Amino acid sequence: MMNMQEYLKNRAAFPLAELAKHRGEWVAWSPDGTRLVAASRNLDALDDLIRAAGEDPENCAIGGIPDTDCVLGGLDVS
Amino acid sequence: MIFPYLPLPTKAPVPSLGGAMLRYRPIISVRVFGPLGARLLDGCVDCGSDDTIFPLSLARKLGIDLTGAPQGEAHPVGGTIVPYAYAAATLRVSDGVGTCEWKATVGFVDLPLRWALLGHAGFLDFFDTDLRGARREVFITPNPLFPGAHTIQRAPSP
Repeated sequence: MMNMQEYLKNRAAFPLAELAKHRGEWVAWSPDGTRLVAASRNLDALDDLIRAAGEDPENCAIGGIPDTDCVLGGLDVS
Repeated sequence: MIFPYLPLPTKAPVPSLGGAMLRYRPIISVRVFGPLGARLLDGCVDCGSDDTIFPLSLARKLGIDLTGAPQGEAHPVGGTIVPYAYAAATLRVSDGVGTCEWKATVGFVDLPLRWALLGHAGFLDFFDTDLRGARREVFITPNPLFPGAHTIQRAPSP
């Protein structure tokens, strides 16, 4: 069971320098939001990588790290 | 429910932000349920999007059947027409204090979206939404159109 308050607080404070290493990738967050458990340029590959890291894909939020500095209209597929 | 903006790094200083090297985005993690399970996917609150849109790969993973699904299409800013398929899905958002779960008709697009689009139909229509720029947080409250269940787990932390 995820503690969403803890997750949201930790994720918002996650080091930007670490996220910057993953520009253009999708990342999977640990359930507590303190670390990245997997990253890939292939969204479909993340489930297997999450399992390989010993986590449950149902409990790891997935999001993309933009490779661009500006997104207009929200539909960022770069 | 309150969700802090997610800071994301930029490659270069952003002139419109006084040279800052990051952008804050109103991103909320949304749990999407299907016959084969659930996934938690980041979605960006996007009042410029008419529909709520998820990547097609998510529908495949969750076993959401798109056979014969109604089709829509989008015209992104400066882009080409993007077709997508509509299907019903159960969505859940939680900030650890409150949780909202509802069923919505959302779109699934065959594009590698960086994040889902939390647009009007399926999301914003059901919540009164306050983008608190100074506090860098999104405040959402289910409104009378909200079709699902809203539960309160506990009082917010001081």
